[in-house]
Amino acid sequence: MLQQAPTPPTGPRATRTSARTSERLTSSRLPSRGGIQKRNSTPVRVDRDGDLVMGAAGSGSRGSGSGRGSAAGRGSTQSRRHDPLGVRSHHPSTGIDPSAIQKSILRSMGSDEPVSRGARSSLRSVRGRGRGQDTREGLNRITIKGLKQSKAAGNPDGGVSDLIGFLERKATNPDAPAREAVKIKKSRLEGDILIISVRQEDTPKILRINHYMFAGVELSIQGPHGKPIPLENNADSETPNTIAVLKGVLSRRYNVESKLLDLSQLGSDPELVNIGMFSTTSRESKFFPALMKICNNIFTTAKEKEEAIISVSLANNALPSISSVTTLAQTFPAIRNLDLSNNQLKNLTSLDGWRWKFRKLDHLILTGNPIEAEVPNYKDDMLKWFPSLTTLNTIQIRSPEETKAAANGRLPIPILGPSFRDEASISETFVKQFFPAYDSDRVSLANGYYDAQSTFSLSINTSAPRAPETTDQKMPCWDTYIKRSRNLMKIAHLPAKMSRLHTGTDSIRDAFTTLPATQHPSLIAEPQKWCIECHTVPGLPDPTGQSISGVGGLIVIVHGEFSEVDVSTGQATTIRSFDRTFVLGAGAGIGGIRVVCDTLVLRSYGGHEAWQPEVGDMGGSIQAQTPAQHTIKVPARFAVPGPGKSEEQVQKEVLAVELSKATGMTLQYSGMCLEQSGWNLANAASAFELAKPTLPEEAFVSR
Amino acid sequence: MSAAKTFIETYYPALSTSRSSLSSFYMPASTMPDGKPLPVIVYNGNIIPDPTSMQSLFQEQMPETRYEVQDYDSQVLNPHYVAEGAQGSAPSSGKNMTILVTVSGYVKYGEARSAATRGFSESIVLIPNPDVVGGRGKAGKEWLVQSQNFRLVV
Repeated sequence: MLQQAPTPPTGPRATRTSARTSERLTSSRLPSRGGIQKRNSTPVRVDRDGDLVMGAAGSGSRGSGSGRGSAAGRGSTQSRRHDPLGVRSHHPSTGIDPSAIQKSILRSMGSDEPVSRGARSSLRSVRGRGRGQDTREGLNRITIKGLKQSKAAGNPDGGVSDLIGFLERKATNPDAPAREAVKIKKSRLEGDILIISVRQEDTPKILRINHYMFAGVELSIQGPHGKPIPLENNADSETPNTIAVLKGVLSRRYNVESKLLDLSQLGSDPELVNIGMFSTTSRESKFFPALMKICNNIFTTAKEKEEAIISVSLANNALPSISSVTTLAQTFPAIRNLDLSNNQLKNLTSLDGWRWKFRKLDHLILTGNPIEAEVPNYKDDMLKWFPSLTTLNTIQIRSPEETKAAANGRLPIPILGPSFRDEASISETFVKQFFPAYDSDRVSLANGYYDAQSTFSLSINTSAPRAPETTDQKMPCWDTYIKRSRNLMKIAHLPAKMSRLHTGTDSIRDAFTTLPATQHPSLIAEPQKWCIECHTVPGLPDPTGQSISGVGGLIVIVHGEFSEVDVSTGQATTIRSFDRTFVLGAGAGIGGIRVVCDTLVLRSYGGHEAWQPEVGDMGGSIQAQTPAQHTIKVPARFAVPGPGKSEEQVQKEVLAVELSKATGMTLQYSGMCLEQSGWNLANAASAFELAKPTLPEEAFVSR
Repeated sequence: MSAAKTFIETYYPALSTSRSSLSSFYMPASTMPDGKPLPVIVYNGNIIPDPTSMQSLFQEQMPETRYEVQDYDSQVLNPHYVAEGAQGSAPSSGKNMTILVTVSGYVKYGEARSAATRGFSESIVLIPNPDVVGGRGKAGKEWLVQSQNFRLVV
């Protein structure tokens, strides 16, 4: 990574044009490994290799020193130890304190002058102490040709580590003490040439290997090139702490008020150009991922990150594709605004890496890109790719309600509230009694509603989708349920199928009482957490045996959630979702009914958004046609509780008034319409829309 | 048991790839003793009046769908079912019963890669197809949907 970047060239680089730089920024023909080949378990060498960052980091990290994934972590270790700016490193976070976040970001991103002299000199002194005797030595650069043609070129790192090992072995005098062993301090691959840096005294030993055979090919070794690189100088002026520079860049480019990270015109950022960030292709290709890793290290939780950075600009970077900056989507997946204006993005392929990323992206700017002319319909694709997108190039292209539908996959028919077609409030009464009792007294419940023929089974869908807003990545544990699960997708063994089906009160009661204790949300206080539907079913067994063709009953389908309760503490623990289907028939149980069948499906918490009616859409369509609510005359005492009036009747009257206001139908017709729709307002409104053209004049309130 | 399995294995693929056969999964339109129509089809709270409407909804309006059944369970609802209008005792074919099937899984609507994964829950009541059970015809499915309730739950 950046810390392993090759020795920068002597002298400051000429400033490149933004276009040129960005072009290079995006190309990465070099191997994915860091240019510097570091080797395992050589902390001392690491410490002495002249690379400041690696020096401290290597001694702290075990195993391979060149893993991409660990680079940022090491960077932070380094910074904590040596960087006066003080990157906050990984430590457990307790709760979210926005002001603390803000402070920590500011602290992490440093002041306006993050790479001060003081910072550097303090770094140097730390390093100097640790480096020991050869601080005054220089390094020579030597080029080795032939690796690409060798048999080792097919190895994972292109054979670099093999070649380095070979060179060190051959250059080292076998009789010399270990401390005199030849060590290659740095290496990087440029095309088919390996460039290594070695101590001056080792240089002749390496040159001696010229024309040796390595993996079937004759090596050509030349050097040293240029003047020896004085180490002190090197550290002081030419290998500034890259992390500190990048942090400075981030700091300058972060706007606290607007929570904008402005990464536009990176190619002409003088500080980045100065440190040779874009001087080689390998450095360029590492630049953005490194920047993202630093960002990642600043925040301990995704939530902090989401709160701190809402907008990102990558404008004016001449990007021909987003491939060099794709890591943005991993680091800032939750940004709302993204400015990609004035780049060279010319088609959908050039954006493909971000397809279906940025799930919360609200506003995307793509002006000043060839895609506008070359893919005139790109807007449609952006709508599909980014489900929350409402605004493209500052123009609103869809409403927030529509984005919700898009995120969910658009259905031709709206999601409606529950279709609850009860008979004599049987299902309603049952559900209101069942779930509180299931939480508090399952024995009575089993005895009261289940009989000798009732059946109950439980199945677990362990891989069910989870609520989109779930941030907890931990997979829920199903141990307590799995042995009882009658998921017929998973179990094929007949005895298991039979033993997991509980028939009769006793068996069901036993099953109930061995399942973990639960707490369901209140049906009254939190109705949105429930979706309860029911309708009648014919052909149930007649317990009296009189009707051959069976009797009618109700099927009740309940979707909801519950918390498991730790009985010893009374604390709610895991939250889970469930789907439970009951078939209720006439019987000798509570209220003259019995549970014929009871199937319970448990799954990971899936939230309750899915069944919330699409009020936006439907309300919109009604309001569009009737901009103002209809003024209707409501008779006195209608839709209010009164003597001799059941609660149900009041409720029906209220619904009739609602529908009447929305549609302009008379109360009488509204009542009829609701009756036909099972007293479901949403259904009734849909039915009205369909029937509207055929309704007689008298159906409407005269205007 | 095999009725549920067969249903799962044929119905869900048909929703994606063989929508013209959808209505054949349902019992013929009839009415309950109290006059309510059968089969009952409820889709996200929408009452679908008949199998033909269900089929045309999928054929003409529904985007591409891919269903994945992750869990199903079934119970015998009525072990001694006699089809409406059937005379005398039930056939002894072992199919004189009705079955409750509950399904949990996910569905993706729309374009292949971009679609969100939506959890669904579906409860179905299957009844034997009298035409097949009675041995009077070879064609047709052995089990037909009498009632169906589909809900997106995630």
